[in-house]
Amino acid sequence: MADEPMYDEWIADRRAAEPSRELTDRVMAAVEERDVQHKRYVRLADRMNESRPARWAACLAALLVGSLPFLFVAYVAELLVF
Amino acid sequence: MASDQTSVRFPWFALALSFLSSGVGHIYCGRIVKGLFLYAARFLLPLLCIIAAFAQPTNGVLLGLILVPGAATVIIYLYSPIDAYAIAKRAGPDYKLKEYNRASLYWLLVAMQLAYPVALTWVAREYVYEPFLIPTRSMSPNFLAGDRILVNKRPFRNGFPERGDVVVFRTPASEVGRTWIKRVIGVAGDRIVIKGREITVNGKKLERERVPTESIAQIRKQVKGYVYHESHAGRRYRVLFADDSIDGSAVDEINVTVPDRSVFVMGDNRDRSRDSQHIGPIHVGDVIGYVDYMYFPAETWSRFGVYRD
Repeated sequence: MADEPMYDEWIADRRAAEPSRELTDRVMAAVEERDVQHKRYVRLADRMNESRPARWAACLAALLVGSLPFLFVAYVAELLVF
Repeated sequence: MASDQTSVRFPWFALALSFLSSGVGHIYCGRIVKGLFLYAARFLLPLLCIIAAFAQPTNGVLLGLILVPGAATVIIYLYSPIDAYAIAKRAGPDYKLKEYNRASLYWLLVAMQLAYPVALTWVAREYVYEPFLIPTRSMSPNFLAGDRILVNKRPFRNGFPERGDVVVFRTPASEVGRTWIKRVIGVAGDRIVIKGREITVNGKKLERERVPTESIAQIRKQVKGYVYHESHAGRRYRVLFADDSIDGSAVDEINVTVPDRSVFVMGDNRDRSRDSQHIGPIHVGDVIGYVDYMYFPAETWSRFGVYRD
């Protein structure tokens, strides 16, 4: 690859390019935003971890949603009639 | 690949993830191989039931092929959260985060596993088998009210329904119910003559032979009347009459030639069925498919399995 003139030309062109002044700011802002989002998840999980009712509610909601496919199949198979 | 970052594994979160989708709680706890195995099992087991239905095995084998994957799916669904909870508890607060420990991956896996049964059922219902619940006794003594049947939607053996096939079809808009189940008595070009209880197809009378009462003892609760074996086009099936007179129901004499691309259908409960005697022949385009299985029979489980006359 490195011997190919087109590639050499492209890499020389890339090396000559000047990064914009805001590039560092943009990178740092993206990293910060990612951290904030991640922290939001962690904060929510931490807060739920401290509350027994919240943990129960989360697990029961998950059980309900997770069992929906079983109910759906039973309904389609005409085993559950509403 | 593990990173240097550590994080606590919440057991309740592992439990909730596993309730939502088997195996994802394990992935959250770093057990990717076991997690993917449990996850894949939930995908593959329902497929086994469909593959089993294609093979048309004996009733015993069929029951096994439905019960084993069904039971395994439920066991996996129950085992997965308990195991994930225990693993998360053992992992403690110093769990080293892996590359795949990402919330986006968990939710993607959960969404796929929740959507899968809907997609699989839709495809199976649309193109392979459609389940139906029989609400009436118009096909007694072969199909009782409360029977659940699987209708094969693949093309008919010769492209069109044949005499003696039991088919499910869309009813004309003026009739009650969206679909009916009946037996094909005549196909395109056949001349059907019905006088009282006597049926003649292309000049040949359908012969009947009385069935001993003992042979229908198990379904006697739903089958009131006289049962006969009727022979037609090499098939032998049971039909039911309210009494043993020869006059039959009050329908006028029928003398019809079945039009092109149509079939003449009748209920096996000859005195309690609304069928082609009343609404005329059915267009083959309205036929949904033919009955292959009785997967949840009413009255007795001895009727479970591949439907045969």
